[in-house]
Amino acid sequence: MQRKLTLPRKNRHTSPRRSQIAPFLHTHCVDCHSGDEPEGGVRFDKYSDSANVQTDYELWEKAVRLINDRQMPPVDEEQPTAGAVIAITAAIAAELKTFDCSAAKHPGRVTRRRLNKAEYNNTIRDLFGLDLKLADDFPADDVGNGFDNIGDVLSIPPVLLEKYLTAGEAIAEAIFNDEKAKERILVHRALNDEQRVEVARRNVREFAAKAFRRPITGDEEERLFAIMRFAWEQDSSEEEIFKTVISAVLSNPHFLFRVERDPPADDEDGVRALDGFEIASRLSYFLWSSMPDEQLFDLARSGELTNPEVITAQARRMLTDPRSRALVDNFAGQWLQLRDISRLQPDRDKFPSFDDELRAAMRRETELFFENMIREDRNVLEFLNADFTFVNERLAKHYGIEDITGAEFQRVALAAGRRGVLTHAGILMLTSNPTRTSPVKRGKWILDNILAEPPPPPPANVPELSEDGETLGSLREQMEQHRENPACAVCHTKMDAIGFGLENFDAIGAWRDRDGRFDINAGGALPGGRKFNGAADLMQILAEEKKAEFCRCLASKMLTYALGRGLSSYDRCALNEVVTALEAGAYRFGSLVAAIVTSDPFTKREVRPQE
Amino acid sequence: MTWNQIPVSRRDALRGLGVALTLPWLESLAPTVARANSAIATPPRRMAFIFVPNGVHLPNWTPKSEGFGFQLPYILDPLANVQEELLVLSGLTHDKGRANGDGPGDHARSASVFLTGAQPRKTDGSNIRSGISVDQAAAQRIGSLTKFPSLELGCEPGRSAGGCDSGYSCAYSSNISWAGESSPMGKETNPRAVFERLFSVSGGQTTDKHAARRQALKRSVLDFISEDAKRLQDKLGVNDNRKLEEYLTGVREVERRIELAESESTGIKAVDYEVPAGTPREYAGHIRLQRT
Repeated sequence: MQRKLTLPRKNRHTSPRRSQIAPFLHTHCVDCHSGDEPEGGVRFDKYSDSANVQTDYELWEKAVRLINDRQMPPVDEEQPTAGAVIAITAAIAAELKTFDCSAAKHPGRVTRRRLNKAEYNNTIRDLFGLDLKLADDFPADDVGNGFDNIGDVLSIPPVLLEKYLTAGEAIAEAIFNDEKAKERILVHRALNDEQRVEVARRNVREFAAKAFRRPITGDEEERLFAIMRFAWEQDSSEEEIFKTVISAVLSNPHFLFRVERDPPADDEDGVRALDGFEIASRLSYFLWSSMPDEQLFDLARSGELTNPEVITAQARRMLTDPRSRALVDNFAGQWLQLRDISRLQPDRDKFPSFDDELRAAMRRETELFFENMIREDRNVLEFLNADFTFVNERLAKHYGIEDITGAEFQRVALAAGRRGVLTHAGILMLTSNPTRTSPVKRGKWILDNILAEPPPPPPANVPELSEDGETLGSLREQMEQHRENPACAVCHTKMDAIGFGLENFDAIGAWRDRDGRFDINAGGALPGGRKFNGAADLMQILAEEKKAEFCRCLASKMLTYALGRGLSSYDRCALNEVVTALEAGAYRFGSLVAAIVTSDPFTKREVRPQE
Repeated sequence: MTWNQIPVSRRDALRGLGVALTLPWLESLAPTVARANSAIATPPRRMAFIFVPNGVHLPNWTPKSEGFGFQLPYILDPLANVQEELLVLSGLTHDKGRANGDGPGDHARSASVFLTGAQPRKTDGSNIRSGISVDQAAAQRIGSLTKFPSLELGCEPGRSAGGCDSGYSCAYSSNISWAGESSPMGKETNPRAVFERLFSVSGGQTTDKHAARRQALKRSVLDFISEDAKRLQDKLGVNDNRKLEEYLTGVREVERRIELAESESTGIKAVDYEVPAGTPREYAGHIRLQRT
């Protein structure tokens, strides 16, 4: 069955993009996606004169994703060439850029999410001053969209609820074994017997409000008091009464979940601005992976925390607080995958110098770099081209930097040939195989995590590289043979060029001039023809020519983490604003954070009709 | 089953945690109710599933001949003394583990389809969906016969950063057990935590006055938190409600266990097995301890 997609003549040449989209749709899509009963309810024949991005935004986003993923057209249909896939993706993306952000505001909706393990530990630490780390024994939090704080993915299996109850009891016990912690909870003291009940009630009310991160309602107070009265009727001691009520609060959904109110059902646009307490929690869990502190609570109570200037000032204050270390552990640890360094095992025969001390130093180096970025509010492009880093004796030896002694880390100038975090040993190691470097892995990792230009998956049945170097020559020569296949070349040209620029670093990130019997050639050219020679050169080019892509990538990763949900079509608008603010803010880290915490998705909550 | 003839040492008991849930010492965990109802003290039969994520070398796994009296291939050799009780099934390829139009992601699909037989929805973070797994279907039907309806154990917690496989959330590759189509079960990887969970004697005899009071207090806490969860549920959207439903399922499970403990006329037997120290650094040792 053949259907013709005819475009009105007047529109045929109005847009160079459209002239690419229509023929692709015609060849690969409309056979199934047209007419009265289109496949999947998706019709492309209706887009004869415009892509209608304003109304059909989500459909086009989905189309791009499926085509790029090679899920469409289906495998049993004629497949577009890799070049055609890239071209159509770019053409639709260009069309999507014409979306008018002023027309519709969609801040989106975060699935009510529970605290993850890090958040639970930190919250208990800040609530009681007890660093018990009980969540270390909870089941692992699943990862979605690259992070382990994504509401939709965080589930509560029965074993976890059981652990919450046990942990709640253990914490209540620990509080009464620690005078300081006890005083934090039993703040007020009764002067005589008549006051006892009222004072106990007040202590519990204030504690529950802190734990629920908002004032508690009169009804909640009554019900908490009922638990206390019940315990008293059972002949419980005062201590047991308090322990019971503390575990009731710590295993309560209002403590374990980040609860935000939805807009009322009859709300016109289904969008609600978050109140001060909700914003306080958004800020504190984003920047500290923990509960708000007194200052945030005060500003929430006074109503000031809904003011964007106050929010910004608070975010800047919070970044200078030691608790922002959580952003390094949890955001950087996952964005740059530093957490993975501890599970990698390079081949012992090929890399006999590798040991746990070096492994720990690798991870610490990049963490310190990130900490310093926050503390000194530095230019985020330094992730790409910084000429300094942090080393201790062990790592300095690994880098060939002389005269550094001791286990303490210190700031040093990077050796020639290294620039930015992509030349940190840890990242070079986690993008390698255990036995050798993988320029493809390194290139793909950078496209995925630094430039947000993930290449489409490889076509099926591509032969593996031969492990036998004798017949095929150097790794680079083998890869070049591989690239002679045009289906591979279109993506590999970019991935490999970047990856080969890093070939002077072996699989544990040490400098090398030779790989086996072959000299290293770390030169190359990026698509578009810009030539480079070696990693330092390449990093400088990325920082200059790819800074827009990098900023967008970093902003989208951080926005995902800050919101606890994957970004959707409409978040593109907020993302544009964040990137613009970052550029206007001289690329300072703090201006990125400020733009995120004042964005619509961060300060509002939406219910969309289909939900 | 011939487990009853195997002499059980403390070591074996620990080793048995993962696989051999039919070992007789676990009878102490079966409720008296179940035993009292049958004339012969037969512990409920357990089932176990073990997933080997990287697969096995099939030529050394699949017997060369069909039917009784087959020659055990190399990998299955350790099972020689139970060969009479052993069936090796082949030809069980999961069609829903194939791409079926979803593109790459075989690693994520292989784990999520193993016990669910369902095509996982390709999504990285929102609206994850697989299907209920066979172990959970059984647990929901007959799990009330044992102290725990099911145990989920593993040797690796799953990835804690980055992507897992080609646009599939790590929930698909880290979990084989699903209580519902969107509710992966999570798993315990620390042998000490597993041990404490299995053998902690909480509650117990209602004749003890203090214990009775503690149980009553615990119930008041459970009533309080489930009341709050239900109130929240009324106000929330679909995905939010699912989270609260998971929460409430957990509460009900704990309530059931308290009832079980209270109905035990003799209480749960004290055990003096050696408590594992934690997660062994060496992988083989970890597998031996968890025996998953």
